[in-house]
Amino acid sequence: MFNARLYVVFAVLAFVVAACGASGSGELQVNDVWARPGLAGGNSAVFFVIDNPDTEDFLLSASSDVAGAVELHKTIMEDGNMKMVHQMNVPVPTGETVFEPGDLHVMLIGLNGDMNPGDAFTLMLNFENAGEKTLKVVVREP
Amino acid sequence: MNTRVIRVGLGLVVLIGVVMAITLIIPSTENFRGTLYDPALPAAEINLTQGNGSNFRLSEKRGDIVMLFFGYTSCPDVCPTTLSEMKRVTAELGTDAEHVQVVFVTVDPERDTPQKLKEYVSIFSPAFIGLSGTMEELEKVWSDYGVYREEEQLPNSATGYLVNHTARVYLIDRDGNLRLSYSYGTPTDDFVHDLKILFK
Repeated sequence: MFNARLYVVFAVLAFVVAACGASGSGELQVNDVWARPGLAGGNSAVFFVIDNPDTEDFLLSASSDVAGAVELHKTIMEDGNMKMVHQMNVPVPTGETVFEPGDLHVMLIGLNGDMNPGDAFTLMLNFENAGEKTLKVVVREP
Repeated sequence: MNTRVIRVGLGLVVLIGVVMAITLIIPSTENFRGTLYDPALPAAEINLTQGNGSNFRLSEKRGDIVMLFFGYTSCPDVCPTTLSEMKRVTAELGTDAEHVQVVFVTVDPERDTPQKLKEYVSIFSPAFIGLSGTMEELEKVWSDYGVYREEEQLPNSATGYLVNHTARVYLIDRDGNLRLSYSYGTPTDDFVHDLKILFK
């Protein structure tokens, strides 16, 4: 009898917790994820769109086992000259933050193998508030 | 009143006709969408090493249009973006593409061997040519084309160092003249538009 009551309490609690989660304005999402083709030993870059509906966040780091190192970078054009800047983190305000060619990108340094169009791999993004997001990245030409 | 209206109308028609005729007869340099070198300058010779180890001479490409770009294989963003654009441009030219040669000159000879460059440009098109050479040979080419390049050490990055560099595309016409250049991000259509004028 006691156990049955306990189950009911837990069930109600679980429902309330789930309802609270769903009743917020939604959680941070990462869409349109893709990477450039690249050669073993070379570099590549991953691009995506972060949709952050709720609280200001920070992208702290990225990781994947397809490359020796994974870093956050930003391309800057100054008087027609290309410059890349290593980002220690990337602010993610509410709304869209776009990682795209010629701007922010996740840089894959020292690819462990060739990456050809149609290949797919996993990338983890670590956010300060939203925690870790696991993404499926598809390799394609821009 | 009616005669006046007819005269004005006829005058307008004649004026429009004259303007159209001038536009068609005189090839206007303003039609180009790239930045024009006016007058066109003889393109400085490029004498560097290509992937198979043989010498490449720009002067041997007379008769073809050369699209010249400077970059490096470790560059994950601007260089592949530009090479992808060049691939799209050549794809849209049809048979004229046989007379367009895309040439990618390294700004990072320390890491970019001719063989590595060949493999890199082949991702985009086996017809593209990647060139490297000694620092002395390359410094001459960079200087001749006004290319800025500077290594930037990144102690906290696995890249070791990055190379900041000019991201323009230079167009050398079929007579070997430096004719046009394009800033990074120029739409593919603009390249195709200018190339079609040059192939007329």
